[in-house]
Amino acid sequence: MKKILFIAGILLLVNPFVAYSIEVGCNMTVSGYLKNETAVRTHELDDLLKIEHTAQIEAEYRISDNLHVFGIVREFYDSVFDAEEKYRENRNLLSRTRGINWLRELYLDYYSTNLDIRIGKQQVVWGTTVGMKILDIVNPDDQREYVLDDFADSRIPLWMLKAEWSPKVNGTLQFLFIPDFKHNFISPAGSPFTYQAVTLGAEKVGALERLGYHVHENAIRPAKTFENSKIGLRWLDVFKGFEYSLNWLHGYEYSTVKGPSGAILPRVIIPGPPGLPPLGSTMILESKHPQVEYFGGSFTKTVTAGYLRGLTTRGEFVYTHGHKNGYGVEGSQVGIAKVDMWKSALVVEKYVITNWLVEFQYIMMGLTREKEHGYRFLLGPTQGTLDQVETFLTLMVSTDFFYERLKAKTLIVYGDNNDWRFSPRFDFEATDKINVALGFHFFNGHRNGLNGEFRDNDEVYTEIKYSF
Amino acid sequence: MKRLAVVLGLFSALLLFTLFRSSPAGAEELKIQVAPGGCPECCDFIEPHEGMSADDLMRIKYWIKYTKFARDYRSDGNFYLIDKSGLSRSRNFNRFRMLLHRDNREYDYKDLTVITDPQNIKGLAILAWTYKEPTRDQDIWLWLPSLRKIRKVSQSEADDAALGSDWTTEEMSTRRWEDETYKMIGEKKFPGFTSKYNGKTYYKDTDCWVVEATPKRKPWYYSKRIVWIDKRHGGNIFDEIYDPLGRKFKVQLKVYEIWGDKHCVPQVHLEAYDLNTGHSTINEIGNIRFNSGQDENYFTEKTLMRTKW
Repeated sequence: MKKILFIAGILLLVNPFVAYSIEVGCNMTVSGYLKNETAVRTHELDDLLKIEHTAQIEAEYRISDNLHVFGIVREFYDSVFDAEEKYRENRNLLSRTRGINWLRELYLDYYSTNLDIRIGKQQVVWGTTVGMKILDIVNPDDQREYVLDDFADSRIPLWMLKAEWSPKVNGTLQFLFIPDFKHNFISPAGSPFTYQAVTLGAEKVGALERLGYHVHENAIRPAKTFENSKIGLRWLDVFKGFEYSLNWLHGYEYSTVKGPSGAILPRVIIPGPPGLPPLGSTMILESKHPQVEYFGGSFTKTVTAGYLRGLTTRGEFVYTHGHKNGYGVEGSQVGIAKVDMWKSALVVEKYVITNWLVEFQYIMMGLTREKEHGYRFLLGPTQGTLDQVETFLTLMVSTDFFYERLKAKTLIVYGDNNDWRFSPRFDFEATDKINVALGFHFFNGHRNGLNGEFRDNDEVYTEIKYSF
Repeated sequence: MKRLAVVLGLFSALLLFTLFRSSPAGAEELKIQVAPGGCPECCDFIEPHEGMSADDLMRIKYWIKYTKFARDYRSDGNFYLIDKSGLSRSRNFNRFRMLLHRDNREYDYKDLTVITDPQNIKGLAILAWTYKEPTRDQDIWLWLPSLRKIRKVSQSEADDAALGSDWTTEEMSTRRWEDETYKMIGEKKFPGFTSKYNGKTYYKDTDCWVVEATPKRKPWYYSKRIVWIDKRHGGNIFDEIYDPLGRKFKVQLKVYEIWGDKHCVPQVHLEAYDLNTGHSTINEIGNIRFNSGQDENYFTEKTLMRTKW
């Protein structure tokens, strides 16, 4: 990896005005970027949330017209874990690319008229909603920054086989075989964007340890075996301008359900507080990934004539059979139960005045029953109680100025429990190679809400990116 | 009797309306000379001739603009966005088009543009299906590299700047013959246009027909344009565009190559100047190939998903 970064550095230093993509011979293209992202809290401008430096190199080698190899390597370093004392504890886990995650994508493509095959480490995208994911379920997520990262960056690529077969001109059947497994990555306690549920869990573990208990967390991951592989199918078709897809995915959920699974008793039994094992016991917390079936679908229709000309409507739906969810009271989980879950989105999009694009999303998420043993189900990231159906509305407005040199967009997410996020962003193309951005994220709502839990994290951020 | 008169009146109105829509006054069937079967690289052609109406000349102009003389088209190109101070930004692209108007009842053509540089928008791909029905918008899909996903989108407003250039969306890809009315101004020698980009003077003393085109849509961002049509092939080499107050605010140059023996007439160099802002857009198009045997399967979402960047 060091070698790759060194070569990238040399390429930039030797000739900073090189053409953007570098053609290495006639069959190979290399490009990449260096980027800095810095974020501070708006309440206290010296309170840093991110000082992330990223280097990425992308390369494509064309073996023949219908056989290509493509790879992306990416390394980042977030200096906020050096700069801010309060995050120092998580420095080793969060400050840099870990393991072989620097190998972001690597795959071989085979193309033919009716069959495309992509084999290797990759990401596959099914859904198209903005700000929240509905049908985008194939890859796990890196949620170290909640959902603020571009989805292409926050998706965790997996080793898989993707085959696309087209029995008719506009109809394609996609087959996925995913033997690889990675879980959603969420930040541990004491990070800039730690979910409230994680903080509450850490506090409970701390309280138990102060009482004299030991706590052992046992994360059970599905073994990477043939039987545990994820399998997916998607039929995508365009019929008289109406595009639809039918989706099915079988495998383990990327998120976990976590609960106590027993205790190892000490040699000397000293009774503990009511409801707890003897003092000195080792309590085992087990996290598991439920095996689920996803059934989904989507549609898109652009009105190309008549009164509503120019209006695009989109819809997405996913039903998760076999989902497991915690239940309990606000901030405290009592148990775990199997309950099917569904999510849907209805989207309307239109250019209103020349280049002002307005997109409205009506998103619903629900469970097939409201309660378990008299308790309400809980929202995973916050442990707040869930209504049987939760509704979110989003509005995105985007435009550009000065021949697309300055682009502006803003996203507003509103949850029915008065849970808000407001994210304006401005991108400026200084030159072909240098882009700068300024943006904000404002959160509001109850602590138990998806956005409200980060209401102390209102941030202003800048990005500067040098591409080659 | 009264009822019969009303029915006949309505029927006549309907008939006149239909005729008016499908065949404007003065339009005649253009004689297309089909490329010989033994020459797969050759193009169909329509020979413009003296006495043709402005309507027919403009039909030929659109026929050439959208390369309808070929069965398919591909090219590589770049465009430079140059502001008043001389700062230049560039975009490189590959373009593919499949002309379906001959055999397909629904589609006119399908078009795929893939941006190859600069890196920050590399991979952005636009797939557009254009229908024969002139009142029907294109169906458009975008591959968004920053999100790694395809989105079906509304056609941009016709007066929006296409990809940040001095070409509007309709000038670049959506304007049709039916969108304007035409008046012949006469026959003139083109005085020549000297490019601010490369200093070359193009088309000096070229014999042209000059047509005034007025948009049907009102109010609109332009009130008329004066179109200079090269008598040799019928392509428009120069447009002067006037704002709603009648002031010239934009000029556009289009340079063609004439592949004499094959009758193909591709655009190879385009320039657009905004006279108000001093901004200009230069397009250079190369590596042009016609009739290379592209398959309609290529113009689908599957191809967008092949994009890696």
